[in-house]
Amino acid sequence: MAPKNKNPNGENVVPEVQQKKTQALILKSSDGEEFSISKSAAGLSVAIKNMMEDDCAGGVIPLPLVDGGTLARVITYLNKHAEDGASDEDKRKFDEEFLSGMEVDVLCDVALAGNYLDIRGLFHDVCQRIVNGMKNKSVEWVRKTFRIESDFTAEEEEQIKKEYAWAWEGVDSDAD
Amino acid sequence: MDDDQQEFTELIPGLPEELALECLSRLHYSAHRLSSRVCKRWRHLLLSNDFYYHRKQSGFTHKAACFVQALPPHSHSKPVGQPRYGISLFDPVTMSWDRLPPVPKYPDGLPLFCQVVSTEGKLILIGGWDPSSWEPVRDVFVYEFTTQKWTQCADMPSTRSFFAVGAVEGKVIVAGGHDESKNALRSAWVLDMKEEEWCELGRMREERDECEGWLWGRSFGW
Repeated sequence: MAPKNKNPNGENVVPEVQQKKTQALILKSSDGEEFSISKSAAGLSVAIKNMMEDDCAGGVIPLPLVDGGTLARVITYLNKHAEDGASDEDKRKFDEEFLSGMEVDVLCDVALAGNYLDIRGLFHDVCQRIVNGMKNKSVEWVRKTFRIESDFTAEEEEQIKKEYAWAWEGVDSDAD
Repeated sequence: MDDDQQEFTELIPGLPEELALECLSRLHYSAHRLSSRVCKRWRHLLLSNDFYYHRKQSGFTHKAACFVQALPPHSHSKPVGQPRYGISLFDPVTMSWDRLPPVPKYPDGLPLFCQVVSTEGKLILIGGWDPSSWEPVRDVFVYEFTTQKWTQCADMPSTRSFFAVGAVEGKVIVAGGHDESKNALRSAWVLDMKEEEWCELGRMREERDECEGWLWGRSFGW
């Protein structure tokens, strides 16, 4: 997660690249944290853009479905994607690193926020990331990670295992 | 999805159903087999035809190239006898080559001159000659990429060699070729893969042997 910068008044501010864009607005998370963001970055969210067009009073947009931690991540993403001079390659690299350290719980929160705020690129990448993590993992790993309990009976498990017994299973160890 | 199917368990805990579906739709097909062992809901979803069509509609299915290729000889000794054939797969998403598992009935190589077509994300292998006896066979096998398994489907109603094939929307058409006495054929049949049923089509005006089939939209030609 990117560090949240605080100004002398203790408010969260976004990196300086964005500050020179004079027009800014405030996004308020479900737990009351306020984040300043440029209009150009915020406008990458279709939902926020619509709210801006509908003219939100005082330039503060409340986002009651997104908590502060998740909103900070989303803003980091938006800032990068609104950055002047960031090439597609830069953005691609950023996206990869941005998501790679996140646990499934965090990814799910970001997916929910991406969906709610209608940020298509982010939403797609997060959904893809959530399932990519399953690659070459064991069934047990998937169950543990996604907190899914098996509802197969012991016999059914045995039967399913048998169906695939002949096939080579290229599975990583569960250690990871 | 069936409502009576495990309505109390979430597809992915912490995500609403439609978002969980968005995620699972993006799962690479090669991970479907393993994932279908996670729980009943996943199994039901991942193995369903509806899910295939959902993925296809959402643009998450992709094309892969399959080739019938001669397999390397069993040992390092000089190859003897006829080559054995298998199916190689190139996946342009992962940029990787793979070999499909052998058809259980023909572990030592595909029937010679068998026809291969594809529809609904499945590969269908039809007819050909038994690789050891060179007798024409009527076998039809279906390979499901998501389960990575071959299953046998309803046999062709009669033997034919060097015939034309085409496949569209879960239906496979065979036409022409020649019978066991080398008589060129006018007949054509269609296989409904879901029903596992062959139906005869109207006969062609003339016999066609060693013909090729092609599909134009939803119509078939040879």
